[in-house]
Amino acid sequence: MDDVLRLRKLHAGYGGGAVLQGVDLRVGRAEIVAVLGRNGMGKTTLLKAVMGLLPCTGEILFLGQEIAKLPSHVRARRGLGYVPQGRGLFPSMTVADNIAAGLSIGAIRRSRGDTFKGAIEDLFPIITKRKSQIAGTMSGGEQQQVAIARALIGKPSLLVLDEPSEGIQPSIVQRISEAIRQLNEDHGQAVLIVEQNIEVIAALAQRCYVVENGRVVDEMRVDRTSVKSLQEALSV
Amino acid sequence: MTQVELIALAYQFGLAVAFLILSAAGLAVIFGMMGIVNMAHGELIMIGAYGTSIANRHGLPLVLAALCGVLASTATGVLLERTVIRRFYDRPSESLVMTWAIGLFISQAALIVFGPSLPSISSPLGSVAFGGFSLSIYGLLLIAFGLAVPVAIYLLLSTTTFGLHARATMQNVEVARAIGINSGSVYSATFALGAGLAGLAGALYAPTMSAVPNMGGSFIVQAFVTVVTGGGNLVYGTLPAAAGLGLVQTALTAVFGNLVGVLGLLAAVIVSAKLFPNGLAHRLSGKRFS
Repeated sequence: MDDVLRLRKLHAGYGGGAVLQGVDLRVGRAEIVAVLGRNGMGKTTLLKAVMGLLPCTGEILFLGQEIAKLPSHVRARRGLGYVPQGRGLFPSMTVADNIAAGLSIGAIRRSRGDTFKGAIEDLFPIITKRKSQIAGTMSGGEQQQVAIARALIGKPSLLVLDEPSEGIQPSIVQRISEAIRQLNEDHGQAVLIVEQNIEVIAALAQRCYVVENGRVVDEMRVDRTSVKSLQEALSV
Repeated sequence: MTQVELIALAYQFGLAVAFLILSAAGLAVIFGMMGIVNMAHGELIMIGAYGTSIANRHGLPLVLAALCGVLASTATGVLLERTVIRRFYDRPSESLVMTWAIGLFISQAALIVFGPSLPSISSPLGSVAFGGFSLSIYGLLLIAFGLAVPVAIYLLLSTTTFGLHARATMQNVEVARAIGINSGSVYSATFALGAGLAGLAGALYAPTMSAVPNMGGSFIVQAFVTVVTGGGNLVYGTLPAAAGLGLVQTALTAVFGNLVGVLGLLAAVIVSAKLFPNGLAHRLSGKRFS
């Protein structure tokens, strides 16, 4: 079994209204996979369904096991690390407490993840340098780094990122992209990312899926695809 | 005013503040962390008092009897949360009506099972004479509990894993779930904690008042006005609110009598609600919990 995540005929939506209509998708080990598409096409819904934050039907195989019926917190404990759109930090808590909230869940994996934890601290030094700062007082870019570090600190098997570059200045986006790429290369970190920024996709992803009206309409290898084609995919 | 009179007044102030804090603690925890207005709070206090009274009548020393009272209210809280409350987490209006109905059910059940009242427990520890005044040592214990409870809850929330998860769940329940926090367990434990604190209030005041089915009514008004004034944060809300309201009530009672003291307390609540509509906690800390 080489897939970290495999979705088959996944349907999901809000309040009875279907948004995803039979999505098939896979993320291999040590692979970074992007999901592209215009706003409102179901990209965030897809990630929420994977994380168990929306009711869904269909198959969600994670590390070879069916998780579609499991509650969200159990999925996270099995190794899904999630960074929601808008960062989703606990704004009144310190950086250290935000990280601890992610770390405490990964306690089982923590014993064999000390090296990985050190790597996260090296890649995101903000979590040690600014550990006493209230998270809600940080800039968007700083918050995004803390949110990604929180998702990674428990050593997830798959990192799920929802528009990590949204509203962040280019230099910070580049730093975050570089950190994710390094984790992928050094530690084989698998990533499923929803992103609108073509530069981030081109720098990170190996494959991408194009989503339109809740369906996957195209799949391509990023290294064999021109930036223009990616831009066209975003405007499908 | 002589020094002795000042000390006596401070003692009365301490008793008033402790009563407000202990009455409100469970309500504040459940409201502050879960957003639920628990209208059965008074009945959970009654269960704590009844558990203490019954256990004491069966020969247990008061400390162990009080522990039984706290356990009884905590167990009731767990049962209520598992069977009813969890279905109304995101529906505050319905949860308010539902907990009110539960409160009525509990008080009527107590009336049917135990009759109109239980034999009273004698107040322990005696008293000390001070000048012309007599100070109850048990009253001093109540004051100590009134100060210790907010500190203990603050430490629980700020230094333990449960506290970390509770604060995370309160701030963003969806994200808390998505990073692996079992929010259902956090809510269950929080409701049990609130019920246990209500039971503690009942257990502590059992020796000082008659144990009757509607005794929760003696606490509920003070509990609500304290939480309305302070907000759902025990340290930044309940504690200063109780101090302010207790000061007003004690001063007015000392000068004009009990009726004016109670009226002054309610007037202070109205003024505070006008000045700080989001509660003192919001004003003092900018947040509902630590």
